[in-house]
Amino acid sequence: MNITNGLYIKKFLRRLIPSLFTLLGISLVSFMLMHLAPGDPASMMLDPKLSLQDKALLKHNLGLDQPLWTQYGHWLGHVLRGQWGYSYVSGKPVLRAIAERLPATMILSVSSLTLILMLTLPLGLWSGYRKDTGFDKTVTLLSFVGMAMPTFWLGLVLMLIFSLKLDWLPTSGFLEPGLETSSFWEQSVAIAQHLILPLMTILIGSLAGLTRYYRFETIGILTQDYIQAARARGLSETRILFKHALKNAMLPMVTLLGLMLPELVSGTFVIEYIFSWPGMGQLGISAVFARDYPVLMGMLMMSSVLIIVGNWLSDVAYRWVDPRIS
Amino acid sequence: MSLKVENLSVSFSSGGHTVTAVDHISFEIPDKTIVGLVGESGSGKSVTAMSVMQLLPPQAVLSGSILWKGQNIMGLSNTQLRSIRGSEMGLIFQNPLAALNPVFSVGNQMIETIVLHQNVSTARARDIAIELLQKVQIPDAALRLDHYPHQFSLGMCQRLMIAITLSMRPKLLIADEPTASLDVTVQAQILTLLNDLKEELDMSILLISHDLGVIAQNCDEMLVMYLGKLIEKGKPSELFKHPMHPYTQALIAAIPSPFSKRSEVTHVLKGDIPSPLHLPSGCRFHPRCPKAFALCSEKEPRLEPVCGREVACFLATEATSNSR
Repeated sequence: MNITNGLYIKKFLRRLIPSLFTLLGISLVSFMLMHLAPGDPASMMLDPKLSLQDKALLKHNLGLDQPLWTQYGHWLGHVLRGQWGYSYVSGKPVLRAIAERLPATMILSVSSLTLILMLTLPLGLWSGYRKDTGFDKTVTLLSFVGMAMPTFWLGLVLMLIFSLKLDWLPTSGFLEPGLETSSFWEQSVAIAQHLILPLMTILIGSLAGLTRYYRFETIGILTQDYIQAARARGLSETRILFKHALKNAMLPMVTLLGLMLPELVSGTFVIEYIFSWPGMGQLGISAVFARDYPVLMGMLMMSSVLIIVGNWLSDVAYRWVDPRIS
Repeated sequence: MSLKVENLSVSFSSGGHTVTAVDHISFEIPDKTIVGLVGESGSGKSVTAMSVMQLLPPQAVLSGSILWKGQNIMGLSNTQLRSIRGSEMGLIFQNPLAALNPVFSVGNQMIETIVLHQNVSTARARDIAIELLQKVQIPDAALRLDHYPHQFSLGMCQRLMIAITLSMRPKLLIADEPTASLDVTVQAQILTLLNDLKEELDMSILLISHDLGVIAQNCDEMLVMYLGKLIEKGKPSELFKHPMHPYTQALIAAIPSPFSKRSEVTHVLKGDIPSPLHLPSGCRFHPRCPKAFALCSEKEPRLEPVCGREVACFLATEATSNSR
């Protein structure tokens, strides 16, 4: 038991140490690029009418007048001690600024990802099984139409139909101002109502990709000998498709899910912007416009950590679902 | 008579071309016999096997009839065929590793089959599976049941396939090149196993092979195919002694003998098997036939009875009609 534990720790460290170097590299490159890009926070923050002296003073106070290397060292030193700095715009601690935006993004991303997976797998499997039939052609056509419609346009059209014409759903936002103190149940219902339109917009645009992917996988799998062999054993078509083909078609999903992990928290700018959804996408884009370096670095580092963790998790999970990899 | 195939034709159309892989063949497999089907790659052996099980892809066009115990199973749906597949006819493949689903344990696949066909509980099915693995001589059967296909050697995988097929107690076993991917020693073990099981279960076997030695040792009857046509059929002992069709003669002459010198091996057929897209006129074998004459390229010889067997060659039928 101790030996296996030791082995796991050794494996874990072997994975962890290079990852730390990767993170260090990412932070260095992004820090430098960010500061070398034109524009500076001081001019974004201040009234243009203020004097150059005031601007220089602000820059000095933020430490932006020091050499880049010193600034980076300063940032890194603080981060290693768990201090991520304060937003230039709101003055909030970076971690709190992110934590405030995370729930809205997660509600949208987790629900959309869950629905995408639940819809694309059966659609793709069945399209592949019924290749070139009316069902398959309809799914293909509709999913491509969905993919071809630009998100911003589709979002506005849905808003026009369901909010303005039919008046079924709210146009945008997350929670009405009056509801902050109401019960959890009332808040959930309100958020759910606001969620439907952005969720539909995401779904319509992203069903095509995975459906086509599963269709293609299924077509390939159904020509395999083990499917013929299963049929030769008299197994039912349902069992062949939803047991023997399904598990094989699902294997690559593990990798895809790992790659999608960072997307779950980074949010989508276009959707969040159109529907005034107070998520990470909005935070990120406003931080870019304001040259809010501490917030940007915080978000970047969070995504990087999640990319690395996602990769690692998908490796572990792959080993768990595919017996051929040990 | 368990299986009777009459005028079976199979063609595939792709890109505007139609390729006829099997052309009007008829044969029978009586109870408790082993029938061998030989021919080069591309002669239509596997397509024949797959059409008997109705397992060809949907783009295959079949005609003729396949009678199983008097019932024509041609064109039945997958659902209708479920009562025949497995419990009446079993199939083992050339590549046993590919025939097992890589992501389920061997036990899982065996138990699923046993539960379906023997109507027993999962726990009982597991015991039956262990017994079957012991029967096909897989050591540590109880332990091996939880292993995955890739953890077995090819020979072991073929034993597993045989064990799974046997759990369904089929009356006809279709073995499509069951030993082609195996070592010679393993090959002999598998064939012995099949022969023993045939006796025990009173099965018939359709044994497909390109290896004439395998056919000669194991079969009661042998069918020779060339480019989708049956060209000779009869008892292996007679066919080996006096092959009548020049193609059968060439096949037998091409068997390497450990006693012949390299320079003596001259019986090699000219050229390759022609593309089924451009079939030769007349007898399909005439462009490669050392004994071809004018008539061969004009008229197609029919499979006709000659001295207790059937041959599709003008030379064979002529020789017998002259002698009468």
